[in-house]
Amino acid sequence: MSDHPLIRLAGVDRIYTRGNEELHVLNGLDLDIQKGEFVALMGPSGCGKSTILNLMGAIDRPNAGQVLFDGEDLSEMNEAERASWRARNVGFIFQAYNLMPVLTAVQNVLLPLQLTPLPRAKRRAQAELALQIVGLSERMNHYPNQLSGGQEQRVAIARAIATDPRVLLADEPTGDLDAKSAAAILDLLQELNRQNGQTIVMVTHDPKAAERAHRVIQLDKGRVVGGHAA
Amino acid sequence: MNIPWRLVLAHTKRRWLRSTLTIVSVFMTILIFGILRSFIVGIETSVAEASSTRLVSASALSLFAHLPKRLEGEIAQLPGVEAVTHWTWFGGVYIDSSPDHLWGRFGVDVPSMRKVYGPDLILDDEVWKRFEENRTSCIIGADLAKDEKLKLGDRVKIVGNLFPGTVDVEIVGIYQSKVRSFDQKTMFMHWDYMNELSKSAGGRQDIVSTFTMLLKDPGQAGGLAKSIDTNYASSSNRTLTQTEKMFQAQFASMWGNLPLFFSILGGIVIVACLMVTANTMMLNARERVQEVGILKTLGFTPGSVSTMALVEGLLLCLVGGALAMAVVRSFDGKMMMFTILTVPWRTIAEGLAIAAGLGLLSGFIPALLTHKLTILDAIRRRA
Amino acid sequence: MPVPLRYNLRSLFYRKGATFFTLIAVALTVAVLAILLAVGRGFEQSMSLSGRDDNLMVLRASASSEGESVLSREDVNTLSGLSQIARNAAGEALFAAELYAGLALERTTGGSTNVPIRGVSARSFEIRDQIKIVEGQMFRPGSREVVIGKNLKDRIQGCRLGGVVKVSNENWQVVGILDAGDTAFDTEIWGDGELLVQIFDRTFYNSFIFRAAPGTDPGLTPEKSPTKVATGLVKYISDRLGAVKILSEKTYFVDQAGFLGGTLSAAAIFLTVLMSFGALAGLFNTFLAAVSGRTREIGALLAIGYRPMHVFLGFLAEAVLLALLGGLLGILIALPFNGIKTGTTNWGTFTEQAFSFRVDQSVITSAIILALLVGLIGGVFPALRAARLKPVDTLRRG
Repeated sequence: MSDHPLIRLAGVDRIYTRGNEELHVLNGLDLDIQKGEFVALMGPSGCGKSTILNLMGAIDRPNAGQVLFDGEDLSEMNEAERASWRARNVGFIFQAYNLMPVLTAVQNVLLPLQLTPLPRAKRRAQAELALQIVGLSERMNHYPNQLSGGQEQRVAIARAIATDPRVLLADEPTGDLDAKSAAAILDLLQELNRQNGQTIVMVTHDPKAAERAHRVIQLDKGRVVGGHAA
Repeated sequence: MNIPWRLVLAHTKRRWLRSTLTIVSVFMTILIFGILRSFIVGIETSVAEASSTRLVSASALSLFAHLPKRLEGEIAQLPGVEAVTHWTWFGGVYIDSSPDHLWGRFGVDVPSMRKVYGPDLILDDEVWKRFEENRTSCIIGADLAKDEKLKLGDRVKIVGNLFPGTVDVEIVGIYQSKVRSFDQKTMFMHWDYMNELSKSAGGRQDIVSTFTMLLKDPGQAGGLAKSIDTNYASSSNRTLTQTEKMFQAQFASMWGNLPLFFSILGGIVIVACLMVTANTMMLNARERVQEVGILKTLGFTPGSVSTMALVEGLLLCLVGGALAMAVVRSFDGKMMMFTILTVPWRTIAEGLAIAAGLGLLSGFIPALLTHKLTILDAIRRRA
Repeated sequence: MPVPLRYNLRSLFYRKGATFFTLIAVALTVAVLAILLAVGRGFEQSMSLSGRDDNLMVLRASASSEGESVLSREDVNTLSGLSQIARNAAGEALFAAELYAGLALERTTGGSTNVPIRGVSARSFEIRDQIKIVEGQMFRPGSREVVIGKNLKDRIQGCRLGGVVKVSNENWQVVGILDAGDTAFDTEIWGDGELLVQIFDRTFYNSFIFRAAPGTDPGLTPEKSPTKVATGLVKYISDRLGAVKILSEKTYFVDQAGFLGGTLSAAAIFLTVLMSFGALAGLFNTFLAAVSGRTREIGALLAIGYRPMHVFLGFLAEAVLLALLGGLLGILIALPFNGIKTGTTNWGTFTEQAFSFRVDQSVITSAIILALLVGLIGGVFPALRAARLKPVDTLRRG
């Protein structure tokens, strides 16, 4: 392990205001993620686990405290800088896959690659490689509505890993899937972690999913209430 | 800037019905604009291309009044006059008095007409000669030939009213015009012939509508016009002499504020179309909130995502606008309501600019909303 | 039938943006139609009210307007002896030989135009009994004075009480303003006929008009006669003066309206057809989007027992209502144009024709019909699509 963690949340507060009501989602949270780790965040709904993911991916900002990625403070960047930072460093996987319905599988995977300086042919090769890794080479030119849920999530994973990001952030990746497909997706994530040393932070409330991680962090009311190695 | 072009195109295709309807709306609007504009430009061009070195003398009383033919000799003798010719509005009825058959027919003197107006027309020497030699012949404009389905050798019969008697002349030539001030929907016959016809039927004789003078020195136009008018100021044949350009301008101004009226309507049409395109873009934006969230998550900057909204509107409107201007361009040179529709590149540029304006304006609010939309809002709204 | 009207009504207000854009698009389309029709109506009205049925005009057979007709003094003498001419209480025959020409004058807004000038005789006013002098007085016969139609006032230079119009190289005084009830005469200048014939250096008149004695049959010209031979009075006169036609003053003006009126109504149809497409597209897009955006709601309606027909009628009613609101708004936009005076050249006669915009009942009816059509056509397809949704699909989707 390197001398500092890949991601560090230090004293992070996150407060949402809805009307006159203040919702304290995170209260002085401290959390480190090491490079190459596969971490599962668990806890009841509303405990702030998705918020943590959003902060790590620079799509949300803390009200207080710091989010450091490889020593760099994310909250000091403006929107455009954060956007290009995301393009370089993060791959997102969502519960609802969030594919573009109007684009084919390979076109979906090409989307984040467009933001890299890679030449056109190289991008195409990278996208095809990503689809090959998730086992969907055969369905490259299918549209999302021609794919099953598990296949859609695979395309989403391919899209997330295509740019070779430094961390994968997965928000309930198996939430919408049946047991068999879910297991296959988890196999895939585990393999990415083992073979390529891909850092993964996954939010889940499925204990079976959490079992696959190195470390499980239990959260409640915006605090870490427990953690153990899986 | 990184714009997911393929996504823009995919959307336009996906919502093909909406896209098509929007394109056609813009097409119709720019078509209306183009036709109105080419009409107005046509009126302006007929003035702009008219000669300022030829002088036209008409009765100061009104268009309905005539001048005696004998003035021709007097005018020809004025210093500075190279040549004089005369035109006389015959009127009369061809087939019936419906607007379709209401085109100009004039009695002229062929040799002097050729000297004064020859350079404006495309007509072979051979044809000029045949026209000159045959007293019961005529030449007609190319548009007139097309609209009335007339060809060389056909006979044209016109029942006179201002001048009694029925003219019956053979078409010996079809002219084309080199300038927009000379329309291609007129018939010219021998003044001698119609004059004699009228005389023998007991009608008016030896009168003409206008004299046109070709000048030795165009710089003399002002002075010469004045001296002609002063000459006849106290006679019963008071003349009004002006450059051909001003003479044409007088016809153009007869439209009154009708061109303005149509311009205002054209403006309303454009605003109405803006409503349609803006509506399309708003509907698109509303359906794509989630997508914008995803794009931003993937690392597309707010700038490129909102440019996408702008580009899509621009694309639809420019396609519609370009198609419309292509159609409008094909109208160039056609006659509509006594006016040669004129479509210069400037008009085409204006049409495209309006289309682009429609696209940018209608994409503006969606682009702004897209720019401001945070990823969290986008994701939350979906839930 | 339990159409979910309240639901559809509320939807209109819920989707403010799309409703607003569509409303304005329909409103502007209807407004343009109404304004164009208002011009056409104003023009037609001015022409159709111009003449009386029992005033008959004698013109040369080949003349399509007064300006093109030529009647010599002998012709006029012959005509004035007709037995069909009605007489007034004093026993005078009601006829007039008139000159009609265009006088080149400047508009106050710039540009020249040909204002019709009518050289009239003693009985001209009595024959057109709808015409009144509303300001100033009649011109004195034999003097260089004119009265002008009220629609020329302030639109043409010199056309005001005390003003001067140039006739040939003389200044003629404007001594009165006539009101002919917004008809063609309101755009004319009237002066002494005898004097004007001299000034115009003419040896002829243009038309002969007379009040017909009751029961007069004008007869038919050869073209209109089934036997191809002129009949009645037309034959009687043509035999003596050469071919003429006789038409009622009213018919004459209605015919004169044809050229400009035709141009205007062609423009109205052209613009309306092209523009309606835009309004239709707006409505169509809005409602298709509404149907796909409200798939779940429609599913819920179907699930609680509404039938597809109800859903169809509900959506159609929503579209028609929106279009009708747009139509009403369009009429409101067009209303301020009512009464505005404008003028242009009637290219049929080459003379100035002034008239007022008329937003009357027929214009409003046409506007509402257009709005209704746009609503029905634009709404029917989206409503069909809504009605064809299956509750199972709608609830399962997205």
